[in-house]
Amino acid sequence: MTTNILVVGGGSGGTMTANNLTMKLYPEIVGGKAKITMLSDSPWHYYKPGSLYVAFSRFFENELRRKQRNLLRPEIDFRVDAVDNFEFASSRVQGRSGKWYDYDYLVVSTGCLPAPERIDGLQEGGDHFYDYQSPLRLADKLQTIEKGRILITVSFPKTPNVPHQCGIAPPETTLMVDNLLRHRGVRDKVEIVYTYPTVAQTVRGGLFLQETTSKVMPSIFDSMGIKYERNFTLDRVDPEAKVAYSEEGTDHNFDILMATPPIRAVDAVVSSGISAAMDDEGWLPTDPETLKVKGLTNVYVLGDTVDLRISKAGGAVHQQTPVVVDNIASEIRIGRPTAAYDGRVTAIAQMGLENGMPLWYDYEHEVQPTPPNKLGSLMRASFNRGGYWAVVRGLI
Amino acid sequence: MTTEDELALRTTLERLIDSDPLSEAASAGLNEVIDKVEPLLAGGRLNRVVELLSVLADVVDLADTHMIEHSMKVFEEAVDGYWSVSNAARMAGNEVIHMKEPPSLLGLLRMAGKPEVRRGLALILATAGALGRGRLVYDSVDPAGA
Ligand SMILES: Cc1cc2nc3c(=O)[nH]c(=O)nc-3n(C[C@H](O)[C@H](O)[C@H](O)COP(=O)(O)OP(=O)(O)OC[C@H]3O[C@@H](n4cnc5c(N)ncnc54)[C@H](O)[C@@H]3O)c2cc1C
Repeated sequence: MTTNILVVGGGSGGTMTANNLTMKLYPEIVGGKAKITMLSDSPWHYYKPGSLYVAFSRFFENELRRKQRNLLRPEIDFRVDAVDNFEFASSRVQGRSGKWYDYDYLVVSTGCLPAPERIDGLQEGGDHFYDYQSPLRLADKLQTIEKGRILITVSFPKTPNVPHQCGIAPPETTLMVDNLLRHRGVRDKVEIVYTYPTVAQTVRGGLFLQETTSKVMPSIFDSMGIKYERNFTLDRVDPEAKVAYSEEGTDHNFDILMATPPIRAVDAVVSSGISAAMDDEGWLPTDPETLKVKGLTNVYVLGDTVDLRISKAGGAVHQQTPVVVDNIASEIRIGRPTAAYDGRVTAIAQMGLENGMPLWYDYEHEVQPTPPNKLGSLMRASFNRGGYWAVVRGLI
Repeated sequence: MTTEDELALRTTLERLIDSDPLSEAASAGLNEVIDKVEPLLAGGRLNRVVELLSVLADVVDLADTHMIEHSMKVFEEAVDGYWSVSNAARMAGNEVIHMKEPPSLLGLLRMAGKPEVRRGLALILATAGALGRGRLVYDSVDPAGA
């Protein structure tokens, strides 16, 4: 009998998992005892952090995507068929083609989507860099602004203690905007105002989602002349008047509103009926150690779709993949999962256009900020351009 | 490093340890580092480490984002090549190992009938063509002797 492993989602988590699983289960696969199938809604694989650089005119679409088939081990049966329907009770999913796919083990890694439409006026009045088209528009504005005010806002999911995508992105891009405007020689005529909501996971009234980093942010911003304001939870935007209003009753006018928008899981996950997340956000209830979907014995989830408190970041996915791979392999071989995720996330933050800061944290430890430096930036550049594609192939 | 230099370094480090702003944890860390550095200093081997660091610092100074991005393109192409060849070799190896006997000439022809085999053969021939066009197969010495 063949054990069917179905991986849904051809992004960071799905690709790393499918490739690593192929090598881990190679004896079973060549012996016809295990089979890995991947379903994705696109023949392309996008390097999502690349869209952040699109806003600074440093990346074009062809540079941040590759054909998914070429990134997968040839033993994997890859189909472009978006999943519309998860039927966990009978261990099967339905593709948009109408076809049903049965599984013995399912891995869900369908990521998340920006949802600016969830805040009144944000879609029309704001800009973001969480897909490819939006940062192209933002890039035009950042390249042409001569004077005025750039307002940065950050919106968290409504589900308690779930972060927005890539926690470090708002400060990263704020520093990048500062650098860009300095290069353009207009920084003295453009005010940059960084705002942060009152509730950021366990932090209250801070400037970042972790206390230690939140405390060092003022000195960084002060040294660059960046203004900052705590307790600004974006409530609505008036696109005509170009004013952003907070739930706390304050407001800010702006010429460019660079927002970290609300996010949600993809439709099929939201409508799967097993999420307990608020506001139809759709995060799957995840066991923090085994990475199984709570209440289901044969479904694993990783990446941006989880309801864990750790960062929705590629640096989390990279650490979660071996756990899912080991657990599926050990379930097949010895009948029980053996690996546990410790919440580890590794990343290199882009601190302005010229500096990088390697960082790590886990369930027990917060990020310890270190001085950003050029070597960090070069490491990040190498990851952006070639390192990522080796990582998703499971080679690094 | 002369003995005087070493003494100076030691006093600086000791002053660092004694100065107020260092936390207890940092002092402990520094003491540990000194313990590790001591034999290197004694054997004059720290000089090599300093030289290595200065070469590294030069490399970081000389490198820029463009240079890194260019080298990573080469890295990606190398990974692509390795990926295609190693995957193909693994799959083919697995296929061949399960053959009880090597295929007969007719069997080989039958294999060549499969579209994926024909595509692979076409790739090999096209690669030969590209190598030929790029003159990689010729002697690299300029025949004109210029
Ligand atoms: C602007 C930006 C900057 C970022 N910066 C960083 C950074 O600096 N460092 C870092 O570590 N992380 C960063 N991230 C986060 C990182 O990209 C994500 O955390 C990571 O990609 C999550 O992996 P995933 O597999 O969960 O989802 P994804 O990589 O998003 O993959 C989801 C896949 O599922 C497919 N899919 C969606 N719906 C369906 C369906 N119904 N059926 C089948 N397939 C479907 C999609 O096509 C996609 O291929 C950034 C993200 C963004 C957007």
